[in-house]
Amino acid sequence: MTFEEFASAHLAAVLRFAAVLAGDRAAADDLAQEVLIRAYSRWDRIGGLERPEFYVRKMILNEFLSWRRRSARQARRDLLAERASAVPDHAQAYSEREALLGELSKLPRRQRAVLVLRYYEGRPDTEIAQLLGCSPGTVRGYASRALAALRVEMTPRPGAALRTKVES
Amino acid sequence: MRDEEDLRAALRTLERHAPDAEATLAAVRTTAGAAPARLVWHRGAALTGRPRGWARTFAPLAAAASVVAVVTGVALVVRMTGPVMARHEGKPPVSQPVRPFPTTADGIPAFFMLYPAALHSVQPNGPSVGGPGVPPLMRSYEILPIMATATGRKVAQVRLPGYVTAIAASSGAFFAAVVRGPRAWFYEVRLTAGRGGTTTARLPIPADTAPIGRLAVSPDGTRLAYSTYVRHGQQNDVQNLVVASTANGAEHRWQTPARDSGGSIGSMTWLADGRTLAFNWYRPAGEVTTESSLRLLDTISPGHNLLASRQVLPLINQAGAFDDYTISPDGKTVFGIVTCPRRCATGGPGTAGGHPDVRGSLIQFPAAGGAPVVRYTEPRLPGTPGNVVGSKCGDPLWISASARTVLLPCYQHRPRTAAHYSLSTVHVVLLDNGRVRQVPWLGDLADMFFIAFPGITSYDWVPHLPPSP
Repeated sequence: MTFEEFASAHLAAVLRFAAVLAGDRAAADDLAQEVLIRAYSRWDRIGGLERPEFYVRKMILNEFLSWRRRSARQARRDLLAERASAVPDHAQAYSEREALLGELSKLPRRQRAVLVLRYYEGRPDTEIAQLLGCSPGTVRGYASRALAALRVEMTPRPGAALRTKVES
Repeated sequence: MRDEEDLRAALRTLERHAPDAEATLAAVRTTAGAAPARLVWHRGAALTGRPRGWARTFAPLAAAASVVAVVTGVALVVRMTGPVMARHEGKPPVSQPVRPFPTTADGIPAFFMLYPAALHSVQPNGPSVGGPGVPPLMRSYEILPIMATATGRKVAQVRLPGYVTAIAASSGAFFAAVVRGPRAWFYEVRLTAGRGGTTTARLPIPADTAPIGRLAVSPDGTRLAYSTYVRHGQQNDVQNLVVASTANGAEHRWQTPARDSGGSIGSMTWLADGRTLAFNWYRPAGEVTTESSLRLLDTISPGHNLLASRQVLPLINQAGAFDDYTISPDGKTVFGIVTCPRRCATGGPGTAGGHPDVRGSLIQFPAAGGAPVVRYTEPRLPGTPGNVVGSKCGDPLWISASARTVLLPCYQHRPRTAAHYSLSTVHVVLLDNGRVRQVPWLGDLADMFFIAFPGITSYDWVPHLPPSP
């Protein structure tokens, strides 16, 4: 698969994934550009993989988990706050959904990543475990703690997670 | 208690933060040093009542281009170095004079800076100044490449800590206006000797909260000029000018008098004396009229009236109508591309050097007055009606001190017919004292990017034909 083919077929979904993972536009921009610049320069190798888009998602996930530039992120949050104050949307600001997103942003990154992979991407715990390099039990532990922190009631279900939104 | 569906719905709302795919690709390709992406750009906003010079600044860059490359190359010799990512942000370069860039065998500055044209249009504190409808794209950093004139290849790149809104170059360094939060800051970028790297320093110039228009830096890099927008409801006009010392930030500000508040500043260039600033002035704002002109401002003189500057040449004259002018560093020669729109005030296409139809040609005027001459006309594509659409040239990318040498981007358009596909090609020619030589490796760059050579930042763009199916 050439980079052009990847971009045409998967880039939009990958960018959405980065946005949901990062939580704001500026951070998503940084995350996507950091990863895609590296991926582009190594595309000869990545393009030959069976699922290049899966590899790029894993790169994004790893980059997100290893981000340590807290001062930069703080600056981005400041920017976000400025933008939010410039264009007030009171209905949104007080909505339950925004409150949930606010709590989501406070979660440890691994817990947040597990929730995004499970509930946004709809991936089963076994696949999430592969992506994170841990066991499915650990994934369930992360999810359980995250859901408890968010006061989200889990729906009892056997087997794999629902695949509500898988884009590849 | 929330349920899982609430969580899914909340996560899906974060998709709204997804970066723009085209802009991301442009940034990735620019940074990775690949050949310029051949993308179809559709971002931008309608510009009503603006001259084409404004449209060049803010209009969306349209579709893909091909390079006219089957021509004789120019023998340019410059030492090349490998790309290096600069992350150093040091103290302001006070009392450290910068050495001029080396030149190619043809005397052209060996380096220039690029900025992806499609990314330009967003300003601090809101949407694009070009019009409504453009979503904010306030990046937390941007990476700009520095290219070698001799090859068109990247030799270095610099990471700037915010959203870049304007770039410029002195004779030995590059400069950028960088938006962070609600303010624009100014940075200097120098190439480090011998290693192909760069050093970046934030200049001591006070940050400005107004949207930045254009940027120009004196040849010695000691004085930076920038224009800013004034907003009148839905209207945005460039009416303020600031000249600041890059050493200590001392500023002198000019503004448009109230009675001329409908005017607007266009592109700016410094003369070699480092004192005189040339700028295009549109009055009423955004219009090419007989009152619009190239003006010279003595930046050392006291006062704050922008129109105390001296008019050099009106944008409509006997040679036709011009979107804007570029003046040579010695201040003696003025260049412009004839556009002559339908309402050309002279009532016709104009004449220069005895040629009755010079539309799209590069016209050269003596700044002191005198007859204009045609310096270059783009050859027309034979046998196609594409000439009607326009084989033309854009404003110069660079002009030598005495205007002997000019680097010029030119375009040819061939509309689709039953026999062939539509085609828009861009190439760059070097006009050297009567000789015309091709610089094919700069063609794509002139199409896709803003280019900052010492003295001139090109904001040109190519109105491509619709792509063939």
